[in-house]
Amino acid sequence: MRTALARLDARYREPLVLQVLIGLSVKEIASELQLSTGAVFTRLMRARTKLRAALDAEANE
Amino acid sequence: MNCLEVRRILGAMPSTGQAPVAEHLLTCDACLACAQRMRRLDELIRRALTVPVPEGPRVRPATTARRPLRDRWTGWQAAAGAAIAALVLWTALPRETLASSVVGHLSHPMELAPSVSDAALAVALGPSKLRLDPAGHHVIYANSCLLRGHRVAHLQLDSGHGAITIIVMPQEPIAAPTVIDASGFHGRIVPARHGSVAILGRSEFRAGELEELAAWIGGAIHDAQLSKA
Repeated sequence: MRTALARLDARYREPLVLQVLIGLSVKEIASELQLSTGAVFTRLMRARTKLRAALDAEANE
Repeated sequence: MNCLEVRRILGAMPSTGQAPVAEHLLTCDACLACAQRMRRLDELIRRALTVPVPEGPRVRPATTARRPLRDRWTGWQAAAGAAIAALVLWTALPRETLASSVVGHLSHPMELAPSVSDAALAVALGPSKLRLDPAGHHVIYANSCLLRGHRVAHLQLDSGHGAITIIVMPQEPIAAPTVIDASGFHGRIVPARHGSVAILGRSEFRAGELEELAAWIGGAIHDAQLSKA
């Protein structure tokens, strides 16, 4: 998981870390990163999709 | 709300308490499984991001050249000054007690439901890693909330003479009960097998009611991970 997170593009990793580790809401993350709430929502969704794909790929190797 | 919309929301906010999502999860096993997968993923992310700090002697970087005594003394002075400043700041900061944190948390708006089903209860308490056997109690609200940096199980029961709030705080062990009588809330925080439990109401409890609830919640709440094993 650490490798998958390290490989994740920073624009996806940053909002994910703020949400999962710090517990910020989408609105708070948007304010912190100066993004729209829609952009944060999309990045969080893509971050998890990419992480799951990376973990699945690793499991299938 | 259809499956696609629900899964988009779960992908971005797996622990959402949005009523339309919760309602959809009650009737859609596939989306419920998706919600659980997403929460497991979040748990893996949380573990991966939490780096334990190893205890033990500090290792001095290998160096052959020693700095002059005056430089070293200046370094010690700076470190001591920083430590004193931190101590002064720490003692000057106001401390929020567990009781005030609990009462403060209750000022946030809650969406009460006529009734929370067992499945919705399991989903709501999932992030707290707790499982509750309601055993006849009428649960009208259930959520896994962040309180003082930890996940807690926040429940509301309909007691028949008003709503009763129960907050199970596994990470907040206490030695003795604390009486709460603030901001219109009455009740107690009591020690429990899983940390501590706050039991609060807007009106006074009937004689023995609070003790009965404390005994019930002590037996009804389980560690979800231990239950699975």
